[in-house]
Amino acid sequence: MSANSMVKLTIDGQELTVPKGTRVMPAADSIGIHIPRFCYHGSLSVLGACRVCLVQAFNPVIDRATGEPVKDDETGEPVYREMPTLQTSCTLECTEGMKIVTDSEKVLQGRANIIEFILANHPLNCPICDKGGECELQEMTMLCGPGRQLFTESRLNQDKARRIGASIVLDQERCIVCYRCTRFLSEWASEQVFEFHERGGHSVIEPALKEPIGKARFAGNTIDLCPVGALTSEYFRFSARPWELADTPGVCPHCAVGCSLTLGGRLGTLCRVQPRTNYYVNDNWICDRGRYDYAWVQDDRLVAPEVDGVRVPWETAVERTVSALADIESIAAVVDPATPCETGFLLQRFMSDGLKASSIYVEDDFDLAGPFPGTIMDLMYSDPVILVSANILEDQPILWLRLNRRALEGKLSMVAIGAPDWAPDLKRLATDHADLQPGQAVAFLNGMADLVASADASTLTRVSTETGIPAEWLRGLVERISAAKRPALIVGALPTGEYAPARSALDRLTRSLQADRKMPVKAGILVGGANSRGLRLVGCSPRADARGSGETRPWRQALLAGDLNALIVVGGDPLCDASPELVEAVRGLSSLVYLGTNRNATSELATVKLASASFAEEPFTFVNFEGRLQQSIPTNEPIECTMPGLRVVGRLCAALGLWHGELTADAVRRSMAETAETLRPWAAPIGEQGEMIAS
Amino acid sequence: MQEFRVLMGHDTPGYASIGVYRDHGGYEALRKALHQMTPTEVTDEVYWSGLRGRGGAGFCTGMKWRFIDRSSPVPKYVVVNADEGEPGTFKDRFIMEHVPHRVIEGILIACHAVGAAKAYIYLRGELALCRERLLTAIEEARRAGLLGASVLGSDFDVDIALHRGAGAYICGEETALLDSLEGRRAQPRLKPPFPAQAGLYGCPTVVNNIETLANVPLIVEHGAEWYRSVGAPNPAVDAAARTGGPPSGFGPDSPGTRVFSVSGKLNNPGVFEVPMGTPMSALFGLAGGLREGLELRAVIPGGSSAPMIGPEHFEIPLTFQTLADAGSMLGSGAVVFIDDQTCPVDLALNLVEFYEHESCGKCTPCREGGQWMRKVIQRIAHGQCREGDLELVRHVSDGIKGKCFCALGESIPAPVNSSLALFPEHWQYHIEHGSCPIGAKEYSHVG
Ligand SMILES: Cc1cc2nc3c(=O)[nH]c(=O)nc-3n(C[C@H](O)[C@H](O)[C@H](O)COP(=O)(O)O)c2cc1C
Ligand code: SF4
Ligand code: SF4
Ligand code: FES
Repeated sequence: MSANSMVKLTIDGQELTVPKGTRVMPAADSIGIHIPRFCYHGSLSVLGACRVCLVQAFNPVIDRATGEPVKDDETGEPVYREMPTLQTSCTLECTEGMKIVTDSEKVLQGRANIIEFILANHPLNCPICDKGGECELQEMTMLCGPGRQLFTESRLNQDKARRIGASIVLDQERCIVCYRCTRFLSEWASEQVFEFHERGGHSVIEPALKEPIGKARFAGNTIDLCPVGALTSEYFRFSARPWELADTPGVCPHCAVGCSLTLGGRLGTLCRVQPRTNYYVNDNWICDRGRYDYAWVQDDRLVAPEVDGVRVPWETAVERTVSALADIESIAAVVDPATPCETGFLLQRFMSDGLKASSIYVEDDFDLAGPFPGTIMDLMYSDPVILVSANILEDQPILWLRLNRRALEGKLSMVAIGAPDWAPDLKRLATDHADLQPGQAVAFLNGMADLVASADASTLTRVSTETGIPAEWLRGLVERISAAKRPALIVGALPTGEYAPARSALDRLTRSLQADRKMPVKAGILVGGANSRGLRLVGCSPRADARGSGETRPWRQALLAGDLNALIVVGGDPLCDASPELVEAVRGLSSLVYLGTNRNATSELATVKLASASFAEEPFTFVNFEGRLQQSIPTNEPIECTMPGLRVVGRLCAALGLWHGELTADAVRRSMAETAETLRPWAAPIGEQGEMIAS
Repeated sequence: MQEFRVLMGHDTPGYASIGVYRDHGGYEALRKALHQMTPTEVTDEVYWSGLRGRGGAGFCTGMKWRFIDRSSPVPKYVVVNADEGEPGTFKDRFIMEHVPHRVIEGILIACHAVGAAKAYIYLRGELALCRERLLTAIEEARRAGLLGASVLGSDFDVDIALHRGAGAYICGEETALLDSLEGRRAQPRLKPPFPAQAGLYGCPTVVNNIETLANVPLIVEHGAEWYRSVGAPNPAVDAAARTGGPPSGFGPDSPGTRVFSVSGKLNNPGVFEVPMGTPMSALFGLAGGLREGLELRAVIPGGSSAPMIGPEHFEIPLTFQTLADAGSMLGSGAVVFIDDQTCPVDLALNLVEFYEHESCGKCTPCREGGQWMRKVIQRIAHGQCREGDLELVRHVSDGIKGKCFCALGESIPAPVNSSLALFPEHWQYHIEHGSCPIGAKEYSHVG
């Protein structure tokens, strides 16, 4: 950055240099000076409403004639003039030579005034408030409040404990009108489920009249954003005090984005799931699925190993598993894509080195689709981002949220293309969209590759006929892409047979788009679950000729054809909704081993049930769609007699002499690193934001 | 004594119709601006006239217009602030009702000067007659080819739309007005960017008061020098104008006339147009003085946001600078004379109630402080005082002062502090006796 785009200032005597346009609050943050705040939030627009972040600001006096700072005759020091009132540091821009004071008597008095005002109509029923202990108002009051209560008039009464949809409880009296919730909803989520009604002291946060909260996908984030107990979580409320929670860093198991989490467990119960800041992945947010979908960690668990429906000690379970599988031919393992790397690594060793003629299938289309070639940041800085049958709003919600934020800022456009009845919400919220004739995704990709090379009338007509998209619209899109510095394209899940032609069409399209562009063009298929990519890295994939998707997955066909003798299922519930023939075929197996957390259709059919710890109870690593390795640290001990997956599979390996020594996550990771060059990163420390290990 | 410029013709029958207005030379300024002057020349003329905003802040109008980047490819807008809602202020209403075509002409010239093809008038919802008069004037102008495509045969296309507010004082604050106009909850925006950079729909926008714009046709028609021939112009500005050099600051410059809204228990309250610099006592005289048996005690010289000043300032010439020097401001030009039968505690309560009710709720000190202040003063006025209440009032007032997001909140302490300073014995009496020393309840606020 050139020197004149930077400004130098001092804050409480500390000198610092920041880019022009930086506001004082983040500048102070950057040198560890914390100015109190309520409405300010680094990921939201600047508002300047609460006024608690007051500071004194002094500017150098500039001589109008010379443009130079005026110096004191005697001391030679620059002369400063204080701005006429205290300034809100969240809105004030840093300027050259500015002096900021954040801790003078005057500042402390101003701050105390504001806190006193906020407290005037605040119920102050902290003992029965769910936010108690992590309330920013409590903290600020203790830190810089007036220390006494002069307000003795009657307080305003408003609605309390109102259920908003299934998940949020609103207490209007506690709201301090910071607009964080409404700003998040409009600036990120495009779902304005809260709005302010009335004005002045009667300003009150209400569920929006037009947008019902029932359909919201991201509204849960307002609970974390709310500095006070106005918005609380129906699921977490009153289940624990925040200081009783053993917060640990986690990773979300629900989709390929792999949002960074904070897991809040207490006495064996997972009480809440919150986002953990990670600007590369999820900023400060998670989707409501990631936030609320964890009841299964407590309910309907397999709590101990079982053989033929009877609880047994782990010894027996391991013995029975090994003896049931050891001498059998044709064994398949079916692995859920949210299975940790460590478990996958050991499973792969167990299957290939320990069993005869076995293969591993991960329940996703990743082997057919290949890895997506870009990161979340790559996509955020692309424009336009074209979504071909890729409903990222449902399937990778936080990726959508981050792209939507950029779209709302006018920095990118999202173009959604898919069958007429596909993803209506995505289409409604996208910058632009077109209806594609069902089954024509490959035709569209090929057509785009042709059109980017030459958008002549006959090609346009042909592609338009094939895809059902109007020629004029196609021409506009091609023009937009051709003019773009950095276009990107995401294709979603396809029928089995379409992956290969889609990939060659994408290759062609990428090559012609790349042509003379400096920035790499990101175009690929985005499928898979939380650890699809990691499982491939540790060696969990079938032979190339045994790949398929959905109902045509080869293990299902092999099972129906009677080609399998035993099945190992790791996580998930692949036999839920299974056809009677499939269930019959499973019953005909010599054994079905289920390693998982919950009772479900698959576990009910299993002859051996290996009860594993949940994602909140075991240490593990995932690699998200970008190739980012992240680790999760358990907040709880494994419940009852469950064990982390890596210990279960590790003991199976040990029984066959494939593992020696202790079975900890670290030991397994060391072993991984020794096995292959590509697995070396597992031996190194993993940072809070994760480590990019593949691209 | 009065000098009718903005109000010129207001007493001529039919002046609100286009025929009579044109018979008296109406729309000739527009013709001149379109055919004989470039937009820059128009802006320069307004700049050198020294015209300052009549909405309250007194910002130099020509300077505001110069901030508009005419070369910007996005649309530019002129937004007319007709939300007149400050207690005591009713002169814009008088202007719109009596000389609507002068307002329209001023808007059209402003559009030409800044390159706007669209102007919006944001009209206070309650002003039904103004709405009627303005709509009629717009229609008449349209039919006369003064509005629409190719105005007066030039290549200037322009249109004016009228928008009615829904009753909030904050909508008069220019950025809250823009939010309201865009269909949002009216709350002031962060500045910068100023409306001139990013105003309506993020485009360069001039926001001007009705009276400000009604001055424009006269300046264009008669020139800056003519405009400066009355009032209290600063000679330094005249000197700078002759050399074309930068003015040494418009601070003490108050040229032209001002339309005052004069109220109080007067014999002849109303709207008066006098040259800037006219002494307050002369305005008092025009309004017929106080009614029989009443004595002058204080004056609010510039609308309810302006601190009250004592009768010792009775001879003060009314200019931007003199009132600032006296610790108050010329503001919206609403002069309220306060008599000895008006309870100063009640007066403060009345105004604080207004601000509390009108607070937009965006920022803490105005939203919460206003309410607290009202509750305390209400107790004092209603005889439920507690010990320490005066200190409490001062404490709340200090808490609000200098910390609000916009000028609305900053106005809350003004009437209170000035009432406390001018009438300490009245407040003290209330505190000690729980009743009013004047006992003038029939004049006081009800409810
Ligand atoms: C709370 C508040 C209310 C205001 N109300 C009005 C109003 O009703 N009419 C008006 O012209 N200006 C009003 N103003 C001033 C405007 O913000 C703005 O300064 C003015 O419209 C600019 O026009 P001018 O330069 O022609 O005066 C108000 C300002 C504040 C802070
Ligand atoms: S509900 Fe919470 S986040 Fe929303 S405005 Fe009120 S205090 Fe702020
Ligand atoms: S001072 Fe604050 S609350 Fe009051 S009107 Fe202005 S922005 Fe709204
Ligand atoms: S943090 Fe709220 S005004 Fe600055």
